[in-house]
Amino acid sequence: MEIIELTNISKSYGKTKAIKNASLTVNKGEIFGLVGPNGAGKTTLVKILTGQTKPDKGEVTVLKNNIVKHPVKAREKIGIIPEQETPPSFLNSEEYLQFCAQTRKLTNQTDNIREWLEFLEFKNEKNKLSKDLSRGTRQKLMISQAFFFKPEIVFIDEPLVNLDPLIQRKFKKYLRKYVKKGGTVFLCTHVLSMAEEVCDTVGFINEGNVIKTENVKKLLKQYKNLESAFMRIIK
Amino acid sequence: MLLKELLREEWRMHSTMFGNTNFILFSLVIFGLCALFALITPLFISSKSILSFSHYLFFALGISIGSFGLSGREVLNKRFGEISFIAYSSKILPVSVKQIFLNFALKDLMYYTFFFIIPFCTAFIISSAITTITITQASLMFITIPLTFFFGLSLSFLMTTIYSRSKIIIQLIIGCSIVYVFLNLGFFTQEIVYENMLPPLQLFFNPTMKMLIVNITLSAGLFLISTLLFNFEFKAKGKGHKTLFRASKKPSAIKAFMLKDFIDLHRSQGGFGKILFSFLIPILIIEVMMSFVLKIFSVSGEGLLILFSVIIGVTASTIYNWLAEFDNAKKYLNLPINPKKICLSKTGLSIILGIISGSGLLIISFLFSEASITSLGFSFIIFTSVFAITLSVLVYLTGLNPNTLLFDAKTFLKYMLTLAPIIVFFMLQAFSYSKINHLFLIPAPIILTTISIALFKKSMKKITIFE
Ligand SMILES: Nc1ncnc2c1ncn2[C@@H]1O[C@H](COP(=O)(O)OP(=O)(O)OP(=O)(O)O)[C@@H](O)[C@H]1O
Ligand SMILES: [Mg+2]
Repeated sequence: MEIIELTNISKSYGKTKAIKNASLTVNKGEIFGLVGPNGAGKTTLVKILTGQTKPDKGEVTVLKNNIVKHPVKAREKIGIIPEQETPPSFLNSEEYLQFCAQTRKLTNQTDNIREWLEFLEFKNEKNKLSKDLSRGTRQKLMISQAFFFKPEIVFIDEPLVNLDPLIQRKFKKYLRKYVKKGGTVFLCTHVLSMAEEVCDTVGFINEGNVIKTENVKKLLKQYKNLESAFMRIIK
Repeated sequence: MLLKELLREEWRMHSTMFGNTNFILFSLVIFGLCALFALITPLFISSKSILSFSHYLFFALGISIGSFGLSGREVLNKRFGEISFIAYSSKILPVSVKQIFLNFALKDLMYYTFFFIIPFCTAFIISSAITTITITQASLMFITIPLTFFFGLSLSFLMTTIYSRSKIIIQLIIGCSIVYVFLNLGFFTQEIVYENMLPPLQLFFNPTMKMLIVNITLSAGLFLISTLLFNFEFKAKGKGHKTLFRASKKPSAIKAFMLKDFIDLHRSQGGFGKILFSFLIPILIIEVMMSFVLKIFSVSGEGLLILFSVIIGVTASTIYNWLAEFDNAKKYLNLPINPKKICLSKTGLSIILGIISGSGLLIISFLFSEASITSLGFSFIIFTSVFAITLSVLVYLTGLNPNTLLFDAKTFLKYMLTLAPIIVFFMLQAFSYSKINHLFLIPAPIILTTISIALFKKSMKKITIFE
């Protein structure tokens, strides 16, 4: 079942054409990886898909919602981990998660929040102000805010860069579990080994063009690994 | 060299935001407003009072600006905004934080001199052709007004620096001074006393070389002491902060945002001291001065209180600036929040905090003004309605970015032009308070509040959802 549908999207910032007539679809229950070089348009595409930026033209449907028309409403069921993790500075971690719960109009989230503080192993830092957290912990906080309320889709822009290997493994395992239960993940990365490891499908983007989307298993039959596929396809 | 870079950076920031001409235009707008002030007021008030009042005005401005002692290093990130990049380079470059800070302060001094003081003094020079103010007096202002501003700034810097180390000491000093001035109000509003209380004003009336040196040494000394005491390091609270956010049975985005903003204001360095130093104290100084200057008009106590309530109403909207300063709607794009709600909650919290602190100020003013108790209720209504209209005009014109957009010449002009008639209206009422029928004043607050609500609704429509 298609849960994300992007049709003929274009977006320019002044003279820079960030996205050029891109289309793609993502099915429910899969981990979709968008890979591409720096400046390819990954972040821009995620922003369009999550109603943060308005595309110049084209249609976006996520969870059957027209994102361009109802950008805020659609975000209620969506978790987002932005590229730059900037939680508001003067709330402590626990408060920030409560704040997210309340702005999402959810009740009884205290247990969920505690679960995430424990799962990502930063419970003993829950009283520190977000601005005083280390970058890795800040990223843990942003992961928690995207997942604690059991959303239907989560968008992740560069998920693991600051996490230590142990937490990375834990989190990757969690992602598999999450999609097995019916969740969907859309992630952007240029860490190809990670995409190869966790993604079901990858989309290649370069200079604003979505060049190809393909099942990872199929790709691996054709190429040695995702890296060599990337080198071939993006050129 | 660093200073030059900072100034250039500031210029670039403003000119890319508003365009070069607009940036120059801003000081022209200030000039125009000052010219009006310089031309009109001497018609009514003795030149001596006007000149003294002007000095106290810049003293109050200095106090308000100098409150940067509150926020330690944060000041480099927040008050100086986007140019904080240079401040961060202190970690890489071989320059000390103190050096950078001194340059920032110097830059600020030049900035205000250029944009406020020079236009103000120039206006007086020009108007001296037709008013009772002499050209010598007006030229002298070019020296004494910057000195006054610097004196206020240094004094406030010292107080706020101590405040950020020990609140109690400063609270005691301020509390005692208020009580002391209040008990001896007659004494403090004597011409001879207030002229001598402010060193730069003393210099203005008795320009001697000795006095000039005393003045410069005094302000620079205060400033240097503050710099030595100033906290340059962020100190994260070791054991962290107790969680104030509790799960709610009826969650609402607006309530959550108001609580968050309250916590931000409270936990950022200086906390509520910001409201104290940038709003309450400067206004009290201006009020004491006004009650003196207006004595000659035999303005009734009631009239004076009305005037005060208007001033408090206009300035209380600075709380909105503080609330908007910590925030950026972009930080919440991961949540299902309409930026309209962010604006709504900030306005709501500003109203709550503004009414609380403004009422406190109004009560102190009431004690100063010898007005009747019925007029207190009345002036409260005027205060709230003027506050409402100022806030809604501010929100309408600048949305979620009051701290940057108000420096746009066009926006600032619109802001002043909208508020001026309202202020003038109430001033006229205040001057003729004993002569007119008080019922005449009643419709004004109702009309103002209605307009504010309508304007606020309109400003909600202007806020866009997308980044
Ligand atoms: N707000 C903006 N204003 C102007 N140009 C922008 C803006 N955001 C993105 N761009 C431009 O759009 C293009 C795509 O940027 P985007 O951030 O989407 O790339 P990316 O694939 O996420 O890169 P990276 O891997 O480095 O994160 C770039 O050329 C970038 O300079
Ligand atoms: Mg990116």
